[in-house]
Amino acid sequence: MTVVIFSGLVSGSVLLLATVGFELVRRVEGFLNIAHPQLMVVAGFTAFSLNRQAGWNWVVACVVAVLITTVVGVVTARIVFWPLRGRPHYIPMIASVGLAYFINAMVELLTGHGVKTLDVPLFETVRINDVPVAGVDRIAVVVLAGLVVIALHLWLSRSYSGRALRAMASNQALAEVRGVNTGYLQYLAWAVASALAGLAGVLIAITARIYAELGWDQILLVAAAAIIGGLGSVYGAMVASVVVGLTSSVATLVIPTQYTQLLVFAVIGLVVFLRPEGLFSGPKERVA
Amino acid sequence: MNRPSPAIEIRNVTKSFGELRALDGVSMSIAANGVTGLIGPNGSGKTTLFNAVTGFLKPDSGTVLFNGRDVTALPTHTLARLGVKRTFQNIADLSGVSVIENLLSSVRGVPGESLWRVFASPRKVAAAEDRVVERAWHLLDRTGLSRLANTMAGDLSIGQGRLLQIARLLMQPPRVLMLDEPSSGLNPDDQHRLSATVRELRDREDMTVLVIEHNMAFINAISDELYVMHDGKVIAHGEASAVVRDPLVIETYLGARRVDA
Amino acid sequence: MNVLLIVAGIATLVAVYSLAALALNFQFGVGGMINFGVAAFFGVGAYGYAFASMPPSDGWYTYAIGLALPWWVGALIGGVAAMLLALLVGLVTLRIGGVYLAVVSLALAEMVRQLFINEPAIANGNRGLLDVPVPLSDVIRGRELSLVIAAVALGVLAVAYLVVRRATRSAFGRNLLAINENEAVAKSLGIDVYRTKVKGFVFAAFFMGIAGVMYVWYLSILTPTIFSVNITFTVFIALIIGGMGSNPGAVAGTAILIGLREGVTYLKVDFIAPEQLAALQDAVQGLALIAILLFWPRGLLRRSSRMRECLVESGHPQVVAPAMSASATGASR
Repeated sequence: MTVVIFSGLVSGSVLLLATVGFELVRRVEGFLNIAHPQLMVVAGFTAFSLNRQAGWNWVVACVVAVLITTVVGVVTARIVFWPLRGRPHYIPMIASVGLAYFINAMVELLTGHGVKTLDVPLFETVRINDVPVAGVDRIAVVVLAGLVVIALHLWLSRSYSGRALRAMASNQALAEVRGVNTGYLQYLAWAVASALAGLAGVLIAITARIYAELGWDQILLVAAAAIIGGLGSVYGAMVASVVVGLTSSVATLVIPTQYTQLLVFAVIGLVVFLRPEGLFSGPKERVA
Repeated sequence: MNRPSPAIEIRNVTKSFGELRALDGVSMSIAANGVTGLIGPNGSGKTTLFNAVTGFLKPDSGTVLFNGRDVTALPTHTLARLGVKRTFQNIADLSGVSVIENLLSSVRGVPGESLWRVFASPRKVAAAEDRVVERAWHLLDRTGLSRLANTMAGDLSIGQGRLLQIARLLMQPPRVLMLDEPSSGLNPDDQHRLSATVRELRDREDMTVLVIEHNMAFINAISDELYVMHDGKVIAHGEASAVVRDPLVIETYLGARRVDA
Repeated sequence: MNVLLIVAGIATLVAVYSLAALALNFQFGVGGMINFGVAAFFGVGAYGYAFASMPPSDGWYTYAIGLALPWWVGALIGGVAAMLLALLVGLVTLRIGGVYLAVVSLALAEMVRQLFINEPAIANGNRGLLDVPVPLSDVIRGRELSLVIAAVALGVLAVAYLVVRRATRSAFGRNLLAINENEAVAKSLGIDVYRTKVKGFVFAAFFMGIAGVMYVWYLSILTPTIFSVNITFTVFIALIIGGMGSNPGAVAGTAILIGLREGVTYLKVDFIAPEQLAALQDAVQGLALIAILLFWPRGLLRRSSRMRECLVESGHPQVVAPAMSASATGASR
């Protein structure tokens, strides 16, 4: 049972990293970036190439992979999404589908098909009361996610740029008038979001396997967590991610694995129908 | 023809947004077949009241009656079909659609609205459509918008847009018309025309009109009665000439305005 | 003869995707409902047809039902099945903003796909159904059958085009467009936004189902890949190429996209491995979608515009299309 719960925590932690970035972009840009989880694939495959093909140390490979992914995220934002601002909000979302296809295809073309793993040392399994819980690497994932949550919280609530970002998310024009350097902040937001996605990707590569379809497999979970958490709330996204991770994991005790996704989506359907603002909502929208 | 009971009765409506009390026990009695003005500083809750009465917002408490019938929290479209229609503060047309199409979209109860009938009784649908188009042209003539019939609504000037809003509402005249700052952005000529139109609606069409306004000259010229709101409450009401002399009103709204002007 | 067969195949495929694009145009181009689950309705239509028209399972491979009905009855059932699914989805998601529909519909297609893969009892899982009845296949054999199928598909497309066009031009279509333009104004004019959206969504889903049925005729086998997001994506690109909101654009855009895509596969490209070819196709399509959204927002066939479409084709002599104005070439809102 502990194994299952912990496993849920791990997948929830990874999902958290991916979803927070997704939610950040939604807050700042106003659309759902369907291509966001593709950055996880980019990071994982880059780490793989550097580690297995170029022979780099796995830690270095991962760090560099995250950096590269951040750059990719910011550049694609600049080229594809920023010019689309001002158009109805579904336009960048549709463009992001195109981008997801493009990135996915490029990764496949460059690194080939199939499942990849990193060349990492064997991690010891941690035991509690002589019951194996999880490997050190997976515990590290949870700890890392926790650190990220704290860091984000501090950043968003204390630092100038973090608070400015929240101001921007609520009302960009007003923020500009008050002297907020929205240009730099936009880069920052995308960079943070992309870095988080990259981090999630390398963590998956380290603790499990990375494969090209991951980008498409994850988008539904990410979107689900974002919706359940309430579009507009970064903290909600965090909580929801962990909940989703735990639920799908614990659910495997009761229902066959193939149906856990179904369960998650049934939950989205329920949430959408009963409480569309999600569990924690962000700023309410005025109607007229 | 004056009816004894008010067209719209608003009883003790409250609405809060988090900690902000936008409407704090607002009660009003809008007389039938007359023009009632609603004035007050920005943020006093005037538009919020419109939203609460027309189903865009759900009041936290209180009742709204239309001709004696409880219509609190009915959906907007139901109220519109019952005969309570409103305009919006910012130009709100179907901007990507032509002027005449805007008018055609304003008619409810047309057989062509049902997909089934579109295919099952095409001739009836076509005949009804003809009638609607005819009425649309008639209204365009009346409001002077005929030559703009096939222009995109988004390309109209503010004054023309306002006229379009009125024309649209007249395709199926409501019993109660709620106008939200109709004169803002209009030049004096357009204001006159609008003023005349509103009075015509009251006199010839027996319409009940409720108007939010900041333009005192405009509202004085057309209203029979005034309500003044401040901080979510009604602070004065009565005949226009009396209300503008009310010291509380002058202090909270008019006095400040005079200093600005 | 060979060229004729190739053309017939492409024509059938164009008819299939055009029908789906017309339907998506009604939901999204006119009604503003972002349906990322086109494949779900497409596939449900296909499987509905299969279950209705196949004979009961004789054990060679498993599937849940087989009613052995005539092909055209089966096709209608497929369409209705898609409508029922759309009703369920629409009722749940159309109460609130479009973004939820996008995510839920995307999830839906994926869920259904996995369901069909994981439960072989439904329709033989990944291996699929191999002997789905094709119209007139007992009467006409071999190569001529492809030509006949192409003719039938194009015929269905033609009829569907007229139907969808009539619906777009009707007062109902106008209401749907009004909701898309400005929901608050539409409400204040008395339009029941929720009901209109649901009706429009369900109406269009019928044609997506029929498109799925025709796809089965084209392929003659049916596997869960029919639910894949690729299909949804293809239909979206086709619509965007032709111009969102435009019925003729939906067909023209599909013709261009499918024509190019299929045309490319017939060119012998030796140095690219098959899986790479697929990835390359995806990359190019993704790039094309982005490029069109960036540079040709009205669609490549620049003269089309949603508003124009609904107006001109309201068919009434006194209502004419307005001249394209500056504001119309920019953002649609």
